Amino acid sequence: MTRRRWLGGALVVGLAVVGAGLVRARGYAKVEGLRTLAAWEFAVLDAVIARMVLERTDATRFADQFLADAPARDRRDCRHLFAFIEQLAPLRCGYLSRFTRLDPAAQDAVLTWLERAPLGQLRGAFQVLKSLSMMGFYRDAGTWPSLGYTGPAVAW
Amino acid sequence: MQVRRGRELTQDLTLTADVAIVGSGAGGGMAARELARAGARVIVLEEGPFLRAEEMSQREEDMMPKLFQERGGQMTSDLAIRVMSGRALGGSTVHNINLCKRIAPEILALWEREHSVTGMREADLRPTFEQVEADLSVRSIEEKDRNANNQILARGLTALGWRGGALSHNRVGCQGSGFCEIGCPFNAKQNALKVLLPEAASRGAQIFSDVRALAVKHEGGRVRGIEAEALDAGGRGHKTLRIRAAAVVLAGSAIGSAALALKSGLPDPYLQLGRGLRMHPGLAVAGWFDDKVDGFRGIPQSYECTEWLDLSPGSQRRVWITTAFAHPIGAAVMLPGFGAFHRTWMQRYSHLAVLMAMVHDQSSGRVGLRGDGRAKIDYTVDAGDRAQLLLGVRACARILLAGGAKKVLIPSIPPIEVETEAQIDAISEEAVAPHSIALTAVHPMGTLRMGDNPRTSVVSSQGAHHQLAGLFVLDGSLFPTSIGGPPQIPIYALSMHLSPGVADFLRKSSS
Repeated sequence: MTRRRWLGGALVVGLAVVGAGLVRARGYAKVEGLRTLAAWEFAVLDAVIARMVLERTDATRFADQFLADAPARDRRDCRHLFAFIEQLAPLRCGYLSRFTRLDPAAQDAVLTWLERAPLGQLRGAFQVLKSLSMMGFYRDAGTWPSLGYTGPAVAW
Repeated sequence: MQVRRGRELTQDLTLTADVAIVGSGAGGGMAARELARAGARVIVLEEGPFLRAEEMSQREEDMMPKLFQERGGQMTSDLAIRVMSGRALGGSTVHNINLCKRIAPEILALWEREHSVTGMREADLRPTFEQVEADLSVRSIEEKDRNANNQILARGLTALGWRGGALSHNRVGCQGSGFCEIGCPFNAKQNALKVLLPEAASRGAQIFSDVRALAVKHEGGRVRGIEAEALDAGGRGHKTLRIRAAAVVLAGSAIGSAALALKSGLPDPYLQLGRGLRMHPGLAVAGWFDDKVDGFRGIPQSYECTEWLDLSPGSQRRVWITTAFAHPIGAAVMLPGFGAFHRTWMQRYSHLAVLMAMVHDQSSGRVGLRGDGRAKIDYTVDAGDRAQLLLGVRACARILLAGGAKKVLIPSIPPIEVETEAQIDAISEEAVAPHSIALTAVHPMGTLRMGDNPRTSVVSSQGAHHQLAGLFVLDGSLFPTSIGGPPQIPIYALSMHLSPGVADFLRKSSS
């Protein structure tokens, strides 16, 4: 590869990264009181959880707390995952909008693709999102009566 | 019991002991007691927290991060298998389900014949097993204590004419609350935390929680001690501990011990460190019943199916089946899919019975190190073990249908629902291909294998490192192969059996 081609490629990648960063950070509602998630990350995870459990709850707030106590490397990995879900996964499924701007059926299509992706790491990424969603949702005692679950035998 | 919490240390420490033990579970707890009984000055280092019974909240989201490595999210490097490994004072004996089985004679014979293990025939170990079982109050679980989930397993086996039976456990004063996997608030588990470490402490052992071993220090072919860091409440190192000791015992699990050995740059002339990882990869299958099951109540596992378990070499029946019930978060993560399909199955939660098939595995994995020093677990289920997983899926489905299930759910991607024998036969190996089904491993074994041939093992049959004097391994890392059953009693027993060798070494080195 010639130096000119390499510099040209690097410029394109750099602009793409800056552009994605600008796009990523704009157009998201401000959320007060978050410990670690940025507003855009909160929006992405909130949209994912809504499709996972079919309800809007405080599960995303819980995920923020949970991730805040996680090692920095895990938070970084989650940040990359949220960016992937928001920007790239919809493109892979033929949608030009961000994940958070898709309608529910399209969001389900993106999540289904991720769950069944040929690459194992992507399926693993789906499991991470699912674990965060389910932990946030089913930790809530309000969900237990519908399961027939009576909760802890001890109340400290 | 006096425990020094790393988070409460206010200064760096330099300590001297005869032996430093890394890990406080079945292996480390037993070694601590036995060596303290032998008069040694013992220091125990545990990375996880010291949690008293009253701190066990029975809440998954609270206890999982406290009791498990990587907050319950430890995975193989390809993200295909969730690996559940303990990190509290008492190790995995705090969260395990208290199942008690000895190592089968076939396994011990195999170790002697093919892995140059000596002094571990059934007759050699029998007195040790008997002593361990007496110490830990091991007894068979009575039929009256069998919950509905386990009754379904027993009923299904009877209907099919398959082999099975009651399991044994080490609980006293069990209230049947069903939260064993996230710690017992009733202190019923007769485990390392309750039985062994208190006696060790009463005999002078110093026990530290929240202290992470960083390296085994060694020089001139001998160990010199341990370098460690005390962790603050956020899990970050904030103080340094230097422990001078003539002997070091690695007992931090097949993953933790191997990772520490690698980080320490131990001599490894035959490239054996970290290799030979076995894990009993397992999967769960759920059955939906008309009647309530409430599998979250009572002793979670009290019955087993051994119809598909033949531990003789070359066997193609290598599946151990028992029950496996999870609380809502665990169940929700295990059930396949999301959205409406997932919700429908979650609404059936109290009517579900769940079985688990674990494979007596021949796949061989490896523990390495990531760039940040954490353990990297490379493990791929090979074709032979995949066939066993399929055998397990089909067997679980048959048992559940025979036990009265109206529908069985195989948690593969995409999910498979079966109601007939023909549908069970139609389940293909694709359903258990990598990343196609949720796999869990709770029994890591075999990364610092024992044997008297240094070319094929890391430590001798006495648990002593082949190249480094004073270094011993006394945990599940020792096993040269999978054992095909719950490992806690085997680990307790091997640690008890081999601890006198450590005491001998200390006596000789001091004289």
